[in-house]
Amino acid sequence: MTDRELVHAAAGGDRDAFAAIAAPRLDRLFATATLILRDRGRAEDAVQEALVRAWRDLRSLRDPQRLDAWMRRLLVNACRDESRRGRRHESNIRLLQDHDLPTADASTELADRDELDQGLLRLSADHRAVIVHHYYLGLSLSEIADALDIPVGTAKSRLHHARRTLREAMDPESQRSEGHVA
Amino acid sequence: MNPQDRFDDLLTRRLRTDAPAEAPSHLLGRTMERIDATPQGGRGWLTGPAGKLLAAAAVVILAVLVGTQLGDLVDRPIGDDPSLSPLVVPSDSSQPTATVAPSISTAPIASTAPSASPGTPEPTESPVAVDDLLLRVVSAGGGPIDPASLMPWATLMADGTMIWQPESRTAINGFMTRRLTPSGLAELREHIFGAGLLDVSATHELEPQPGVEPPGRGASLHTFTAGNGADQVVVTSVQWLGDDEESTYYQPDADREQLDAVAQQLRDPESLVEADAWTGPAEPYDASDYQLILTTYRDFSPSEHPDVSDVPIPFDEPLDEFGVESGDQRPPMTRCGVISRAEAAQIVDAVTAMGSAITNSVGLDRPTLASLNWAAGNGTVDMYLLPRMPDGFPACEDQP
Repeated sequence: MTDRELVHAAAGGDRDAFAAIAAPRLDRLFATATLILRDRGRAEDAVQEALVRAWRDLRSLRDPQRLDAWMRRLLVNACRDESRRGRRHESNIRLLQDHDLPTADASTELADRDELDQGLLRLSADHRAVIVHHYYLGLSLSEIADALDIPVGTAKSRLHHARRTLREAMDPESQRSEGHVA
Repeated sequence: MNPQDRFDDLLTRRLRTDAPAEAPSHLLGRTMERIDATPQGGRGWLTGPAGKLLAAAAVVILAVLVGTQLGDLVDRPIGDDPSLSPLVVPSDSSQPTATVAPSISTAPIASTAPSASPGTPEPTESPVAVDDLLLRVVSAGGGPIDPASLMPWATLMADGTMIWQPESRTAINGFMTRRLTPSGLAELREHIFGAGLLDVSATHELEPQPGVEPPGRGASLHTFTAGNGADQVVVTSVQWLGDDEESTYYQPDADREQLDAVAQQLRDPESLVEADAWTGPAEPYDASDYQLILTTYRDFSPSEHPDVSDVPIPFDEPLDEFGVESGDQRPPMTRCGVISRAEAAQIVDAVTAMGSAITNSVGLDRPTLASLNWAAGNGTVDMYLLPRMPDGFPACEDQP
């Protein structure tokens, strides 16, 4: 059964069809939410909320081919709401797993990654969403703008700001002297 | 690599590393419970008979999804995972190949021969019948699972061939192999199976004590696969978290503790039997064939790494058409196939020549990992080359 058929069935009220839509997307949704919120517990809540909204509003999705883009948008909105609710759980974000990163200079890279972590935590959920969609999901600016329901220009400026913040976190001296980010 | 490229590369890798590989297994169920109580809004635009027919078919799909995708998931918060190596150092590559090969080393080797048959599904025929497997131990979890993390800690074949990956917290060790004598095999079998914990399929989970909320943490899951075919036994068991943590938060489980001990001991099987239990010395494992996994990222900030076109991957078509689909089929795409030892050796040589900038593990006796540019796709590609065990594990369908 295709996504289109499943969407039609789910929009007709069939919960099993909706589960068949959600199940194969769950890991990616959860990973995206975890990266945006930096917290597994809150990511779970956001994914649940996004899927409930998807179920509730599925009949408004006129083009099933846009299902994934639509669900990304719902997820980002749910992450935004979750972020506003404040920190309700202890973070379970795992510590660095060094074996994941091949490197010629492990000590330098470890330090960079610590600073990168701090920079990511400093960003707002909206800015982290741009970073995650660009660097993790590999989306273009127009796709990011679609997912976040913002103009392309806003997506571009948020990406610019987020990158500058992260680069400053990693190398504050050079950023101050350069005064800009490529 | 210029600073901008290095930044992009670092950020991309960091996000990939932090992203959990799986959603908690309870997430879909809990979501569906909420959905059961949530009415849909608006006016349906397909509620007629066709929709009802589609719904009936969807039940079947759901059953398959639950059975194949969700059934094996283990809900495990990510956190510190003591079973994972904290640091990987560049390997000295190309280990000498072993001559103590399984008895099947002269058998024909199945290969995808990708260049001759683009997109051909992976042949899963193994040079050794699956019923030669006595025991496989895979230990993974506690965080993102990559293809290399699913390589078995230990594989014991009925002919006495033992293959294991010695424990190391500083590097990805190569696999070793050694053949047991018949009496040595009997001795080891008694050690592994004597307690009866692997007689029937079972699942050993963490059971919190009443009224206690354990802290979030990572934990590995040991999967013991014993025997063959319809008689195959699969036992899964969460790692032993240490006496203090176990006694503070979880109900006693002597079986789980013992299974953890067996899994750990099999990383050093030579300590379990007498010195004369072996027919010869231990050697680096020389696989008959290798699993090649390519995760491709199209239109994705390339770095200054060498290009994948400099690696002799035996496939002429676009890399994202290699072999068969594997895992989640949304970007990034992962493709999987099996190549011969000779083809693998050429890849290992090429990656070795590229050096530690692109890899932290390379060799025919171990997982070879490489991160490369992919000019043809305007992106990057992560490559895993894994030596397969004599029973053909891992097959592409074993990968997440």
